[in-house]
Amino acid sequence: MEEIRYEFMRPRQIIAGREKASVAYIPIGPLEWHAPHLPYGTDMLHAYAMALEAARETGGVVLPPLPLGTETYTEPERLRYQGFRGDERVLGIDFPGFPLTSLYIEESAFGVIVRELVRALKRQAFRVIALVNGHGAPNQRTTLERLAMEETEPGKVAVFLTGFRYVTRYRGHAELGETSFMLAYHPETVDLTALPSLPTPLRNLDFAVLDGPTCAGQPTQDFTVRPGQDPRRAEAARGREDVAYEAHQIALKVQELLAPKS
Amino acid sequence: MAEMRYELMRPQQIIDARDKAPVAYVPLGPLEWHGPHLPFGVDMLHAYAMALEAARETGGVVLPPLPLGTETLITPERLRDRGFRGDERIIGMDFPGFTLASLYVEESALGVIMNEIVRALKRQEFRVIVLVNGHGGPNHRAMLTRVANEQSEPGQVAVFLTGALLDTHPRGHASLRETSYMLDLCPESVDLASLPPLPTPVRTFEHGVLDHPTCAGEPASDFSICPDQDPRRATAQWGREAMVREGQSIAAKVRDALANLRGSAEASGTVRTAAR
Repeated sequence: MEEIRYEFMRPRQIIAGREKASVAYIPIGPLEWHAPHLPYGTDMLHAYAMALEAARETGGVVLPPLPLGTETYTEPERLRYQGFRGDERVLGIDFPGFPLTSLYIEESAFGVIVRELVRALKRQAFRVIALVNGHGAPNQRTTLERLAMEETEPGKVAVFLTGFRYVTRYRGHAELGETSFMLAYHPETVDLTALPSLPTPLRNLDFAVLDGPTCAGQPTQDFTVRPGQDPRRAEAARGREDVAYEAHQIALKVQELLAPKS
Repeated sequence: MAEMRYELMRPQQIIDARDKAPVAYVPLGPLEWHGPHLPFGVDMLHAYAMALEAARETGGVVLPPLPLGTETLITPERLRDRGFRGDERIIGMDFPGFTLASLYVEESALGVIMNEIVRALKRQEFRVIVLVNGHGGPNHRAMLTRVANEQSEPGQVAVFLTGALLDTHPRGHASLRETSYMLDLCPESVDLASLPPLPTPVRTFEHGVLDHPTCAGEPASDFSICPDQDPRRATAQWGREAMVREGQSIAAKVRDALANLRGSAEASGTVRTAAR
């Protein structure tokens, strides 16, 4: 298989990759708390897996994963969905009482860095640039969406945001979806015994495991994770299927953008 | 060996590693032109390899490599050392006529990012934070030195810069040293056939290959690479031995930094345990 990982490619290989398919993938995700059972790099590893598999379908190049992401204070309404009173100051997923905080970085500098990479790839004559994001924070997505819009040059260069919440079939945090991904791609990093054993309910506030409906404003009455999205029911097979689906959706979008316009 | 790659560690593993040795390594290097024979990621891959080598000795955690670095316009004097007239506008290694530009990013934004990462590691109670740099750009190193100085808290937290030009020798770019690293780390990424065959001289401004004398302001009269730093003479063994030396050099600085912190007896004792 031809090399698609940018950091391992010589100039001539990058040019050959670009001439075959003029697309560059930038995988992005912060180093962030993902409950006691998953590693800090879950988002960037997921973004990287999606990008690599999409690039295997489309060709092009994949930048090394950017281990960066931003967050801001969770608004009162979302805090209440998660089970808080609503007047707490909680940054992203760094809930009170957790033994470690996340490595979030400042939104505006994050935006400048991603923009710089996009501009540099445009100078290298890539025509489609996919920002493959593994992180669900609203301000991360709005920053990346804004950059994609601003850096797109209609008819010449398409920059678009994809990844988590765009092509994923789940939208929770450290729940069955993300845990299945890690079981599929990095099984040695998952320790389900770090969670209470089934059938003890998982409370949102105890571990920051959040199911999809909770993230969409529909928590359970007791703010526990729904059984259908419980990380303790995760399976590697599901993680592989999910990434195959996600990568294919990204590849379809890339192919559409690369196709000559009639 | 216990996991030390931060992105693959669960919270309790990070805490356990920190409690044994409160050291966090932050490797970084830009995606940059390194001659036609080497890949764009040499600097970040080298930085990551040095960090992992050091962490095997000291314990602690190693962050995933940041594929970021900055550059600025080369001064007229340095341009002339590389065989240019001196009035060209050249950023870093992006010499005229090269087929691809490097992915440098803006210095001030990178400075904020580095400050943010260091602050976050301080919040996680790491007490020695090592910026392991693979890139020689003067403004890149100056920015990292500033961040390290600003974030250090004497007796409490030591932040310092290591790597390129501090723990590596000789100076140079895409020469024997960096080519040897890549032959060790990822031999399939090296293509020496993309350089002219020996004994044809490799000239700096043609390929972006620089030797130590050129970097020190004493280039050859024809701006070619001196034979003992010629990338075509690189070997994987040279690369492996150099990286082990560099890792040891960084680890020694980390042990010193731990010893100089308040409560250092406990910290340095645990580092010895980690080394065993």
